[in-house]
Amino acid sequence: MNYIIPLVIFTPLMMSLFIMSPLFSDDEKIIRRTAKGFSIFHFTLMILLTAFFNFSQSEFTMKTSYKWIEVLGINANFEFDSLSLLLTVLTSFIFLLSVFISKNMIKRSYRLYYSLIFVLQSAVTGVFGAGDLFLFFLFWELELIPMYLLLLKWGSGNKQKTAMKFLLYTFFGSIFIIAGFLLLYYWNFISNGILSSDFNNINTIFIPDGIKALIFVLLFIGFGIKLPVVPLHSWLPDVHTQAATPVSIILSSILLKMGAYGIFRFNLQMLETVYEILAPFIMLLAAISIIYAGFCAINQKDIKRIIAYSGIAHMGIFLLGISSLNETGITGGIFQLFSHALISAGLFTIAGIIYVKCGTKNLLKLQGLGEKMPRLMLISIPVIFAGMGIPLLAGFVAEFLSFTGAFLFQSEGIINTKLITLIALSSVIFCSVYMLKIFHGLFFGEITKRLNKISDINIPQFAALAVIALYLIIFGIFPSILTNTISIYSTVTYNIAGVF
Amino acid sequence: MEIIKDIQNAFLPELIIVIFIVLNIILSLFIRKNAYKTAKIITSTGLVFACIAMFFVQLIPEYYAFNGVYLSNIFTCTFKIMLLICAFFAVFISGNLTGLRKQKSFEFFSLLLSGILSGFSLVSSNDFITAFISIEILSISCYFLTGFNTNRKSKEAALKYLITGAASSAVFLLGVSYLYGITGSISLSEISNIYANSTINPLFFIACLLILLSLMFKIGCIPFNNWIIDVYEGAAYNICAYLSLIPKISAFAFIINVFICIFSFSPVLKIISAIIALYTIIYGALGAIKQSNIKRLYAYSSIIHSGFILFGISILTVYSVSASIFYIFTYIFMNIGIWTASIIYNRDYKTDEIGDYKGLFSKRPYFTTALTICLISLAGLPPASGFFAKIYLFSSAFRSDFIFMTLMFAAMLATVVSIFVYFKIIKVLYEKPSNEITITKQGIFPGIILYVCALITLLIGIYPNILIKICQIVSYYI
Repeated sequence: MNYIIPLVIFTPLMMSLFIMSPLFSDDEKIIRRTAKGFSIFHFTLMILLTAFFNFSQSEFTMKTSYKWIEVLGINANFEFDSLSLLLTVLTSFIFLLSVFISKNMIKRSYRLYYSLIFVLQSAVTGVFGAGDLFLFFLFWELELIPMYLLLLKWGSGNKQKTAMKFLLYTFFGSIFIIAGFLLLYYWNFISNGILSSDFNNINTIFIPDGIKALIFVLLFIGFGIKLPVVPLHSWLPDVHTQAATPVSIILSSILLKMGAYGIFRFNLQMLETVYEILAPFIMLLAAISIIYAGFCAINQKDIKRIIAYSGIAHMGIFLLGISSLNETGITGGIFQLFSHALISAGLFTIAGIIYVKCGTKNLLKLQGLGEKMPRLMLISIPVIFAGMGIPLLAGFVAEFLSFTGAFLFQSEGIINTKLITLIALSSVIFCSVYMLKIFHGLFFGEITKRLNKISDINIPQFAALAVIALYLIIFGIFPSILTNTISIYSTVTYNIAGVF
Repeated sequence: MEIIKDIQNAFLPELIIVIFIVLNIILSLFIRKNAYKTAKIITSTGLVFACIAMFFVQLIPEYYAFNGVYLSNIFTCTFKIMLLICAFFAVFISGNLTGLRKQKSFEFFSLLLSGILSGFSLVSSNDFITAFISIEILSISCYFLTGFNTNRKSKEAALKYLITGAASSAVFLLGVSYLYGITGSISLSEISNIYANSTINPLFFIACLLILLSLMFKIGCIPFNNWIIDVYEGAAYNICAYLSLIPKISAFAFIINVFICIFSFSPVLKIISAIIALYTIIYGALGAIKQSNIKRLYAYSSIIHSGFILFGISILTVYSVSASIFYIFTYIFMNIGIWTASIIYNRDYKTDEIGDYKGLFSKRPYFTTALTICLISLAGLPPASGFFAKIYLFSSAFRSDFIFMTLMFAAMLATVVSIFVYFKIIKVLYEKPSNEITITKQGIFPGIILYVCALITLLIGIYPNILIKICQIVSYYI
C-alpha cells in the first residue's frame, strides 16, 4: 500500500508523457481508446483504494513520505484522509466523464489535448494528496499551465483573452497563498522549533494572533479567488463560458473544489481559532456571493453563463455551511462539494451537447427541443432539479444541511448571522428561477425551423448523463453514504487543532 | 618564488585562459581556411583546461594572492564554474551566425575569452583597483562584441554602450576615491576591518552609494538600465546571451563581496538597494508588456531577473545570498535556453518579431516544448527550476525583517505582470500557424543545447536539494 498514493498521482503524468512521446501512434482512434482505457483504469484503482480505506478517523490514515528538499525541511509527503480521498475519487470520476464526452466536442490536436488533460489530472490529484505546504503549492501551480493551454487552444470566442484572464487571476491568488504558506512555515519554525512544512508538524497554537490573522487573510484571498467568493469572482463566468465543454466540466467540478479544499484544510483546520472570530464576516461574504450570483444568473441568456453563475452561488452555500462551525453545517458544506460537482458536470454536458448540435448556447434562439430530443429532456430532469435543490436529489441534502447549520450558528458579534442565513435562503427562489428558465427555454415552446433537423443524443452521451443522474438520485435518497464518512470531520474539527 | 606559489594557488585557470587568448591571436595570423572551426576548437580546449585547473586552486582555507589583492575561496570558485558553464554555452551557440564575420573568428573568440578572464578576476578581486581593471577589460570586450555585427544598428549599440559604460566607470572611480580618502585603503577586507569598530560618517555613505549605483549599471538595474534594451537589440543573438550572463554574473559576485565587506555596516544602504531591486522588477515587467520584438522583450526579462537576484543580495543573510546564488545558477540555463531557441528561429526564419513565432508547435513540437519549459521557468512556474529559485528567494525574505518582507511581497505581485509577458510568447507558440515556412537544415549544436538546458531546468526543478545545499555551503564560506 506504500506506493499507492504516488501511483495514483503520477500515473496520469506518465500517461501524458507516453501519449506525447514519438513512440505513440498518431491515429485519432487509438489515442481516444487509450485515453478512455486509462481513465477507466484510474477510476477502478480509486474505487479499490476506497474499498481498503479506513474512513473512521479524521487524521491522515494513509501516508507515504519521500526525502525531497531536506535542507529546507521540505519532504514529499503524500497523505490521504477521508476528505482528500473522496475528492480524489471525484476527480477521477469527472476526468473519466470528460474524457468520454470529448469525442464530439474536441476537433483537432488530439494528442496534445489528451496529454494536457492527464497532466491536469495529475496536478489536481496532487493538490488533494499532498501532505506538505510546498508540495501542495507545486501542484497548485502546475495546474495552471495545462489549463491555460486547454483554454487557449480549444476555447471559443475571445479565447486568448479568457485564457490570459484565468492565468493572471489564478496566479495573483497563488501569490497570496505562497505568502501565507511562507509565513506559516517560518512562524511554525519560530514557535515550535521545527523547520518543516509537513502538515502534521504544523502547529499554530503558539503563533501570535496577529500573524495568524494575517496568514488567514492571505490564504483566504488566495483560495477565495479559486473558489470564487464574490468580489474576486469575475474570471469565472468568462472562463467557463468560453472553454470547451469537457474543460468547463473539469473547471467547475474539480478546479473550484481545489479552492474549497484549501479553505477547509488550511483556514478551517489549521487556523480554526481565527476562523471562529471571523466566521460571521465570512458568512456575510458567502451570503453576498449567493445573492449576487443568483441575480446575475437570472439575467443571462447564455446557458453556460447561467451555469457558471449558479456555480458561484453553490460555492457560496459551501462557504456558508462550513462557516457555521458545527456538525450539520460542515457536513452540508462538504456534501455540497460533491453534489455541485455532479450537478455542474451534468449541466455543462447538456449545454455542450446542445451547443454541438444546435450551434448556439443562446437561450433566446433555442426552444422546443423537447420534441426532437426526448432522451435529453428526460435525463436532464434530475440534473436540473437537483440544481434547484428539490428533495430526494443530492442538491437538496447539501443545501438543507448547510442552511440548517448556518442557522444554528451562535453569533455574539454585531453581525446577525440568522438574518444573513435567512437572506441567503432566498437563493432557493433565484435558483429555481434560472434553472427552470434553462429547462423551459430549452425543451418547451415551438421549435424553430432552423433546428428542425437535429437528432437526439446518442447512447454513450445518454449513458454518461444517466450515470450522473443516478448518482444524484442515490445521494439524494441515501445521503448517509456520504454523510457518515464526512461527519467525522465535523465532530473532530475542534480537537484536530492538536494534531495540526 | 612567492609569485609562482600565488599563481599555483589562485591564478592557474586565469593563466591558462591568458595563454589561449594569445594562442588565438597568434593563430589568426597563419590560419585562413577553416578559421571558424579551429578557433572554436582552440577556445573550447582552453575552457576545458581552465576547468581542470580549477581543481588545483586552493579553496580551504581561503588564499590571498599577490599581496592580498586576489582572493581564492569556495565562493569565487563557484562563480568561476558558473562563468565557465556560460562560456561553454556561449562558444557552442555561436555557430552559423547571421552577420558574424567569419574571417574574424579568432578575434571573436579571443574577445570572448578575455571577457571570461576579466570576469574571473572581478570575481576574485579583493581590491577596488583590481575590480576596476577587471570591469574595464570586461566592458571593453563587451563593447567590441556588441559591435561585431556588420550592420549599422550593431555599431550604434556599441557606441551607446561605450559612452554610458564610460560614464558609469567614472562614477565608480569617484566613489572609490572618496572611500580611499576616508579610510586610506582600497582593499575590501581592510576597509571592512576599519569599519568594524568605528562609526559611519556621511561621506562613507555617499561613497558607498556611488559605488552601488555604478555597479547597478553593470547588472542593468534601475536607474541605469536603459542601455540594455538598445544594446541587446543591436547585438547578435549569441552576443546577447553572452551579455546577459557573463558581465552580470561576475558583477553580482563582486557586489556580494562589496555588500558583505562594506555595505553591511549601513542598514539604510541595504534597504535602498532592496528598493532599487523592487523598482527594477516592476520596471522590467511593465516595460516588457508592450514589446513585440523578441530581443527587446528578453532584454526586459533580463532586467526583471537582475532585480530578483539583487533583492536576495541586499537582504544579506546567509539564506538570502544562497538564494541569490541558486537563482543565478538556474537563470543560466533558462536564459541560454531562450536565447538559443531564438538563435535557431532567427537563422531559419529570419525574423525578430514575436508575432512570427505563430504556430511553432505544430511545426516543431519538441523544440517548442523545450522552449516552453525555459519560458515557464523564467515565469516561475513548476515543474521548472525557476519555481524553486523564486520560492527560495521569497522564503529568505520572509525569514528576515518586516521591511524586506513587505518589499518582497510587492515584488511577488510584480511577478504576476511578468507571467503575462512570458505567456504572451507561449500563447503565440501554440496558435494555429498562419503560413507554411520551409525549414532549412540545422546544425546539431544549438538544438542540442536548447534540449540540454530544458532538461537541466526540469531536473533542478524536480530535485533542487543538492544545488540548494551547495549554495548554502558556498554562502557560509564567503
